[in-house]
Amino acid sequence: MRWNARTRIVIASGFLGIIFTGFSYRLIDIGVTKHEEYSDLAARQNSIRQTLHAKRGVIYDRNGETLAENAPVRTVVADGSRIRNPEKVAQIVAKCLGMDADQVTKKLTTAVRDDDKYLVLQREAPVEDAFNLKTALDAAKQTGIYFEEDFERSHPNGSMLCHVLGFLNHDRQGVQGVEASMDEYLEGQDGYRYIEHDRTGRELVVYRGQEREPHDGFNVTLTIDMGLQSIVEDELDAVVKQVRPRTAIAIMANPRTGEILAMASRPNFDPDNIGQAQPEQMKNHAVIDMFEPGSTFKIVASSGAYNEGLVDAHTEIFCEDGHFAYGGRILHDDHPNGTLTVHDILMKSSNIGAAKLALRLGGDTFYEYVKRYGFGERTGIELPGEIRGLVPPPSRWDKTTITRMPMGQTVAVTALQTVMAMSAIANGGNLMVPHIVKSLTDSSGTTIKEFQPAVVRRVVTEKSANFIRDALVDVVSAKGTALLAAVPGYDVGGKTGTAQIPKPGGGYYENKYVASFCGFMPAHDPAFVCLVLIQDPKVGAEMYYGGLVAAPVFSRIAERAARYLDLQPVMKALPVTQVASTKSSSKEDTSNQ
Amino acid sequence: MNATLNRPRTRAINPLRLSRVLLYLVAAIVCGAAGICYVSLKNTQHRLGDRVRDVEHQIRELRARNQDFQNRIVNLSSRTALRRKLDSGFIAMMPISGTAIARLSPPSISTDDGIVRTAAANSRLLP
Repeated sequence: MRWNARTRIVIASGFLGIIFTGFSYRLIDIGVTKHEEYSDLAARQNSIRQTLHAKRGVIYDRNGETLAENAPVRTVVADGSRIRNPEKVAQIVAKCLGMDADQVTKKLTTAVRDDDKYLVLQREAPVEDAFNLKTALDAAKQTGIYFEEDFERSHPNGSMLCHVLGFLNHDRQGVQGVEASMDEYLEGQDGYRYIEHDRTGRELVVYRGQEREPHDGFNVTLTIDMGLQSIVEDELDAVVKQVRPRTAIAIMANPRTGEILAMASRPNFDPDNIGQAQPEQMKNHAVIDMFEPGSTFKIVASSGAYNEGLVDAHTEIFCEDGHFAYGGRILHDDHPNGTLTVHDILMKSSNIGAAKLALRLGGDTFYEYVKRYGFGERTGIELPGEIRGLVPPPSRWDKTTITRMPMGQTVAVTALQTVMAMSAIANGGNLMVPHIVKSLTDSSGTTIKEFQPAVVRRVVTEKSANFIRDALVDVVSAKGTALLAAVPGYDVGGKTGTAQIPKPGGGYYENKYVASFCGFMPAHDPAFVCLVLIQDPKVGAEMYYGGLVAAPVFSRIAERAARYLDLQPVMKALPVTQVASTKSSSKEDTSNQ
Repeated sequence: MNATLNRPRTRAINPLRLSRVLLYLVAAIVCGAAGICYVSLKNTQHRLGDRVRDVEHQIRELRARNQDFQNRIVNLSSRTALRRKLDSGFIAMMPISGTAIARLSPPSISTDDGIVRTAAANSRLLP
């Protein structure tokens, strides 16, 4: 072979051709044959599933007043590997976030020294502070501080309505109240996006992969009217300050629809500062606590007996002059009564009269009416933890139960059950399903679901309900036990309750009572039913009665509610001359003081 | 004399075919231009991607700040805040005099039927 130029060119070209063929083969092998394998490897190393957080729904009252909302906050994080001048960064951070400069400097210096890439400087920093900090850092050309998006639940009205609203835990799940019961609607559905990032951690938008939009949670509108709620809470606070009870409850409901207009319980807590709350403060006693109702329960036996036709408006029942021996025990009335009509039994709150009505009904029928009023079963309100109460069946009664239960002993009910039972009398005999959620709307305002009023059952006929209602109107009179529940200008109906608090081991505490009043107004066209229940008030002897402790609170609530709802008074106007003389005499009284 | 020197010397000429050269040159330029275009487009894509990311971030920030301001307005105008202001005397409630109420229907005079009525009785739907 001649080793000339041509030969050398051919050899060199062949050599280069083999090399490039090898390269080409390798290129095809990597780019085509093993494409999937290397793509997956690259995705595993650089691609992440980014969660797109859905916004939790907002909670409103019936008039659109915001009760619970989402406040955007930022978690401020330092990356020690990217901080060049820790002292300068610390000064800016401390100034913008209101932190101690020395402590921040110490933290950042340590993070830089240890190459700590994730040091949380502050959680739940306000968005405005974070924005100012970022602007200041950019102006000073400093890096290494990052902001993670987050939100916290905010309650513009503080502790008002806290038990109904509830709160969230650290995983942003509802723990109590509507936050818990409506969690699946409020929560929304997080979206996701597959993204790739470069080695500095910055997202490469070009390589965005599959993604799903987040679906924000539904907004929840409650039946609560904050105007009425604030009235109820004000008056409850006042009575708590005055008589220092163990617990106090007030519920206001629309008897026709079963909508809860206001619900408050004491002690309460601040849902924005949940760490400071004690477990006892977090309980919504209106639905998770039961108590012996006392005389408010007398509506069951009296309405039952009337409804069954066993008594009428003129039937007279001998009340044994205050001492009734039955089942080997003596049943007493507070004041001795002779012969009373059913109307008078309610008006004077005769224990013996109520017992005799139940005896006429018989155990099974009386028990049926107790159940018809919804006692012993959950009402189905949209609040978690509701209890049934305790209503023993006739098979578990002793000899005296038939005389004790009609006056509200040997039975335990919730405050809400009492309100709904009284609502049945106020609305003409229908037991309603209580609602606290009015509707659900999506983020665009479209109504997704609306909760309609629902009747559980007809408890008594309209005639029977009206008969009891008329008797209850006289309860709130000089002849009845609840004169202090009266509201000038309006007719009010209602029933007091005073019950001893049972001991855990049996028997009753000597000086501990549950004082309650459950009433409605205006009596002949009720706009609301309201229960005020004070457990263990610290008052003087003989001052613990529902008519003395709870009835005045009802009166104040009802009077303010009437103004708020603009209810039409029914009382006859005083003649002008009398008004003038009343005014002048009141002026004199004032001047005398 | 050296035999090598006596060998007849012929000049080696490699003829340059201009058309061929031009063909390769054009092909190289096309390939190069395509590559540069590809890289340029890719860079533009990344640059636009960065802008998309920055704009998205700005929108999120603006939305967050907007939400923050809305929350502040709600908090400042909440019932509790207004009550606080009312108690401190910062704001006050003025009673509306009877002559300042515009009525769409004639008022019911109490002396007509002896019944006291509020200013806007029946004008508001009860809950």
